[in-house]
Order: sequence, then structure tokens, then C-alpha cells
Amino acid sequence: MNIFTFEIKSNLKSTLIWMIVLCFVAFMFLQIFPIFYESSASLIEMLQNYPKEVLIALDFDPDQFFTILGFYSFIAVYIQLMAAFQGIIVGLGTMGRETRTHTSEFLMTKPVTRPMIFAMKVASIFTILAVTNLVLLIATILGLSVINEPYSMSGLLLVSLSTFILQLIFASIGIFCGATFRKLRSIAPVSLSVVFGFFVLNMLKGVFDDPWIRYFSPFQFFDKFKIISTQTFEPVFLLWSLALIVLLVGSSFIIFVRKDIHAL
Amino acid sequence: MNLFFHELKMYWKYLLFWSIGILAMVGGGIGKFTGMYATGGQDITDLMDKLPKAFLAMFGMYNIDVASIGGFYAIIHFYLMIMGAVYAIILGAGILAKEERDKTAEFLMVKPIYRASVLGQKLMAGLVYVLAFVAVDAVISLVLVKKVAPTEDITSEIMLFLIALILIMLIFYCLSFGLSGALRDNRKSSMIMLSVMGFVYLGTVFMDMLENSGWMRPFLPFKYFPSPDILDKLTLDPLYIGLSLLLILIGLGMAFIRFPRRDLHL
Repeated sequence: MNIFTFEIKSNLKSTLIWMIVLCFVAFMFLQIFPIFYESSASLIEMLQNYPKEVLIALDFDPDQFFTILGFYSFIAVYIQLMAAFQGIIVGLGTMGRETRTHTSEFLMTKPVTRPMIFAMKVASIFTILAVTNLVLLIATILGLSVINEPYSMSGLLLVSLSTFILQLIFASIGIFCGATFRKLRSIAPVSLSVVFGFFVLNMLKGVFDDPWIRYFSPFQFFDKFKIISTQTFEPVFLLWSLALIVLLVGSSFIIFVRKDIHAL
Repeated sequence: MNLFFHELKMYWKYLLFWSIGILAMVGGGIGKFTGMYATGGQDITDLMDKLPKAFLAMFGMYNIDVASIGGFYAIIHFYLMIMGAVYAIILGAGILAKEERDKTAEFLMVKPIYRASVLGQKLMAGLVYVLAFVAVDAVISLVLVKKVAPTEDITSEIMLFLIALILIMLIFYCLSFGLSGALRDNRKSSMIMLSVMGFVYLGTVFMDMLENSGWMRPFLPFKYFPSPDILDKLTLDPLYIGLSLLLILIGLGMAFIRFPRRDLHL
């Protein structure tokens, strides 16, 4: 339990900052909706007559878009970008802490089995991300209630759940990197490259348009508009996400338990 | 001068990696443009005019004629500015902070060179890489734009965009450099500057969405040289050039005044 408490304490300050930032961004962006909605009345009319190809090229669906939840899905991209960043920082920071600070010798000579160490660290990562998402969900609900438009709670819950799963995917990548890397000097470059890399891949999807590209870009696993309209996740991608998480965490476990520790 | 060449050798892979990113961004963007250009520019312009401000602001598309190659390049440039800022921050914060982070500070500081000389050489090496980033961007942009729209000549617009990019990257580079020179525990300097950049980005998006938000402009480096000014009037606001230079000097001042005096975390 000590390790769990220690990791939570080490991450506490930065987690609080992330929570505040995420909630603030979500809340603020939601307040933009009324302004957004007023200026769009004429646009909706015009869009009725528009050819579908143009709309697909610009990547939005007019029926969905102008509902409050549709708008939220649109801004959720930015929230998810930040959330993913937090996910990988927490994962890589926690799992790679000993490597980064050269304290592996200290930890590994304690009378705790390595599987236990791994489990405690993963548990702390999971707890931190779960709490962050809960707080974010509450902030989002508060933001939505201020606007006072009707929306489907189950749709919101599903989208928030997709944010959580996305965070877990990036945290698993962080865990894998933390368990595998022999030298970890700074978490910023690795985290940034991974998150921005996938985000750019997401943005370029218009250019590539191959259906299999979707399996490589975590940001595309959950198409929020589809989630809201069909009220379910796409089973393939849900399974693929869970498979990725299990694969990454599982292999990290095996590597962590068996690897040689480089004390310097 | 050894230190200058040493640092120069240390970061070439970094530049290579980012050059691939620049290529992907500009290439992907131009690729999308050829698609839109073909289907008919006028329709897109009408659509853009009618779209709500907030939507356009998110993508930095507010106030721009998207159908023209110049307007489209402005959008790509917006994302390049963000990439450039991140590149400059990691470069600026890292090049100084890595000595204390990797515990090589003791080795370096007992060499018979002034600390100011250390600062100067590292600063220069980073500067070379900032300019290299912009050079890569210049080459890729000019070549790809020429390929896609051989009839239109927006070379002068691109030049102005690049100068704006240099100034903004230098702001972030010098401020990160200064922060890592001044702070006692400078391992956090890159995170701090990245968060600052994140807020500047969000502020930029907000500024486009709200009315009467002109007051925000001095705080948002991404807005110092707005695309409409460059595209329509071919100018860079001299007031903001001055502000950029001021910020650069503040960053340099922080480094050169604090670093020679503070205790190092060995």
C-alpha cells in the first residue's frame, strides 16, 4: 500500500492542476454554445441544400452539430487531446519514476515483489485517471446545466467514458514506455511526440481515407457523433481499445518483472 | 567554440524528426487543398462565410478566404506556428536545463570558460536550429505551393509568414531559455512554458470567438501577426515586432543576469 500512497502523493499536485485546467476548458467552451447557436440559424437552412461531399470534406454533420451534445462532441476533441496528454504523462511518469530519478536500487531492494510493485503503480495510475474523469464529468454536467438546454444524459456518459478509455490507452502507452526504456531523461519529449503524432494522424485522416488507418489513431476509435446517435460504442473499436490496453499493460508487466535493472 | 559545435551535433536528430513532421503537416494540408480546389472554390467560400465564428475560430480559419492558395496556406501556417512554438520551447528549455538534469553541470562549469560564454554558445546553437526549422519549412512550403498552384505567386506572403514564424519561435525560445537559466529547479521549465503555450493557444481560439477581445492581443503571441494582415495588406505590424523584440530581450536578460549568479543544482 505504501507504494500506492507514495505514487498518489507524488502525482497529487500535477493531477490537481490538470483537473482544474480540464474542467475550466470544458466549462468555458460549453459557454460558447449559446453564441454559437444564434449565429448558425441561417447556416442550418443553407446547409439543407448542400451536396454531401462538401460536408464530409469539412467533417461535420449538420443535424448532429447544432445540438448541445453535438457541439460538446466537437469541443471534446480538444479536451481529449489534453486528457490524452495527461494520461501518458501520468503513465510514463509513474512507471518510469525509478528509471528517471535513478532510485531503482532503492525500490527493488525493498521486500516487495516486483509484480506487487507493478500492480500498485498501475492501480495508482488508474485511480488518478478515474478521479480526474469523474471530476471532469461533474464539471461538464455543471456547464451543461448552466446553458439549460435538454440533452441526453446517457449520450454524455458514453462520451465521457470514451474520454476515460482514451486516457487509459495513452496511459498504457506510457506504462509500456516506462517499463521498457533504459534511459529516461525527461518525459516531455516522449509524451509530446506520442500525443501530437497521433493527433496529427487524426487530422490527416481526410487526406488518407483508408479504413484501416482508423485502427492506428486512438483519437478516431470513438466517433462521438455516432456514439450519441446510436447510444452505443462501436463494438469493434471498443474491443480493439481494450485489447490494446491489455496487450500494452500485459507486456509491460512481463518486461518489468524480468528486466535487468540498470542502477545508474 | 567547442561547446557551440558540441550542441550543434547533439540536436541534428531532433531537427530531422521535426522536419518529417513539417513535411507531413504541410504536405497533408496541401494535399487536402488540391482536393478542395478541384471541386470548386466559390462554393467553399460561400460556406465559410456562413459558418459561425466559433467554428472557424477553432481551426484558425476566421477571416480568411479559404479558396485561395494564400488563405489555405494561412491555415497551415497556424498549425506550423504551434509546432514551431513547441519545438522552440523544448529546444530552449532543454539546452540549458539538460546540464543540471543529466548531472553534467559540474563537469561543464569547472571548465575554464565564463558562464556567460556557456550561455552564449548554447544560445547560438539553439538559434541555428530555430532558423533551420524555418528554413526547412520555407523549402517545403515554396516547393509544394509551386507544384500545386503554379499560376499564382504567393512567395512574398509566404516570406512574411516565415518572418512572423521566426519572431514567434524566437519569443518562445528566448523565454524558455531565460526561464531555464533563471529558475533554481529548472527541470520544470519546459513543462511551464508548454502550459503557457497551451493557454496562449486557447486564448487565441477564444479571441476569435468573442467580440471586443482586442485587449487580449498583446498576451497572445500567435496573434501578433494575424493572417489577414499578411495576406491582404502584406505588412507585419511594427508595434508587435517591437513587442516581440521586447519579449526576446526579457528572455535573454533572465538568462544572462540570473544564470551566472545562481547556485546550480549539481
